[in-house]
Amino acid sequence: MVVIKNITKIYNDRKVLDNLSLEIKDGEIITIIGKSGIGKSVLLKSIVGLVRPEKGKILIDDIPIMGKHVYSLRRKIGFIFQKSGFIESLNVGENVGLALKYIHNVPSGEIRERVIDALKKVELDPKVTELFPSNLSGGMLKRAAIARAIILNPRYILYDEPTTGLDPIVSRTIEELIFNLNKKMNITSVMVTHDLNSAVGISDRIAMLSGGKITFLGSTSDFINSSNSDIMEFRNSYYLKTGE
Amino acid sequence: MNFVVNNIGGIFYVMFYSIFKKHNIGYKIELTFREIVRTGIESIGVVAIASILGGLIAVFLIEQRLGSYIPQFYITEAISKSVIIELGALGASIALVGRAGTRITAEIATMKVNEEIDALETMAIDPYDYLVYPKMIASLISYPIMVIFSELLFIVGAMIFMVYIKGFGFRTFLFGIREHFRMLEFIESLVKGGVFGLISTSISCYFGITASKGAKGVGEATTNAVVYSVVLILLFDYFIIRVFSLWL
Repeated sequence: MVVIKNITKIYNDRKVLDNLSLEIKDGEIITIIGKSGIGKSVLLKSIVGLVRPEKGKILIDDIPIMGKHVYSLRRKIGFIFQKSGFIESLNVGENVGLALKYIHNVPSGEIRERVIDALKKVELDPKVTELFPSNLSGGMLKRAAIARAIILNPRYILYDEPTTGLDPIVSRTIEELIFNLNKKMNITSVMVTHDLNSAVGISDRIAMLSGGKITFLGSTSDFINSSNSDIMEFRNSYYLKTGE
Repeated sequence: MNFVVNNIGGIFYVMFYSIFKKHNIGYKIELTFREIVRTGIESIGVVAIASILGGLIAVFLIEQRLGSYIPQFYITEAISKSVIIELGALGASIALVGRAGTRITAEIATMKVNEEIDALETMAIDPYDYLVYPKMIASLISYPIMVIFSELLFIVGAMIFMVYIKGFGFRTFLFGIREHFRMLEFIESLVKGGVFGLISTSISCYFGITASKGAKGVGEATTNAVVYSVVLILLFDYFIIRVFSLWL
């Protein structure tokens, strides 16, 4: 379970996160939505300890992420970056197996097997191991990034805009992948997006971030029927933009 | 002024933290070897060209300006002394700053911009262990080796001019080189190589890690790395010379 307690993060005198609290339950898919630049990625990066809030604390399985346990806690968490975060000088196989090699000191033969297994789980051809990240399409990169996250059997995966920049068909396959991983591997998933279709399609709960606070937290059906002004504005602008 | 003091503090933090922290990754020898290849072996060309040309220029100037006042074997002795005391270590280190230091800064800064360093962090891989420490150890090994290589090629450059252009006897040339050779001066040049390597690599890593986002940030980081490297190398050169002067 992830517990976020009263965190405040300030950038350039602006409170991006303002005394924000949120509990993420084990095994759920929770999506955090909100306008661009509102602080969704900051919240996600705070959970994994990449951003250090000025106030408040974040507990992963009752242990604070900030402090001496940061690296041991990160072994339980996979993180999918907007730009994939692959090391450009390494091929896909080396990228996916990086933590196995350097953190877990797994023998190279076993790394190769586990890399191929992880790639198969995300429906990628094992031949991509020899390719470099710059040779992959956007959708393949997202899949490979998910393979890199699941290779360590994490309890949590945090997705930062997993469908941004992808066409609608590839976006749907990525959503299905996130949904299936959650159900088959019982991975708690936290997704940040401004893609309303993704949020409504696969989430158990949706949280709306606005003005540094969570202004709505509820089930997908609650979200669809909500008369909360922030949500109505977000929904209307989304429908106007996409026509969906 | 504050900016400079902060940066110098940051540079020494990077140096000491990466070396003395508890490392959490395996395969450090493999990573270090890869960096030795990239820092040392891939820089052989530029160090060789700079050293041979440096030797040719230095001996030409001494021969032309002082040749009519001093015996000829003193010219080669002057070259040998100046190369071992100063030119070899300084020449090789400046060439390595241009070749390897800029690569390190640009590489780390680009990795930061592309969220690759954040990705390492989320995989529980400390970037100081994976990126900085192997580069520090590699520079500690490869800089002194390149200093020896540079000293040899400086002398080769001088020999090309003296023996093949001026018709100076090879044995007399060698006598001038060997005369008054002091092992402690040679050791001083190796110490300089190691210290310059550590400083230059710490600076390159520091400016890479602290680069601001975007292409402009990468450019600024690389420029800063070169400027700070050259200034701090010269400053530490002076300190090392003063320390060795106590014994020489």
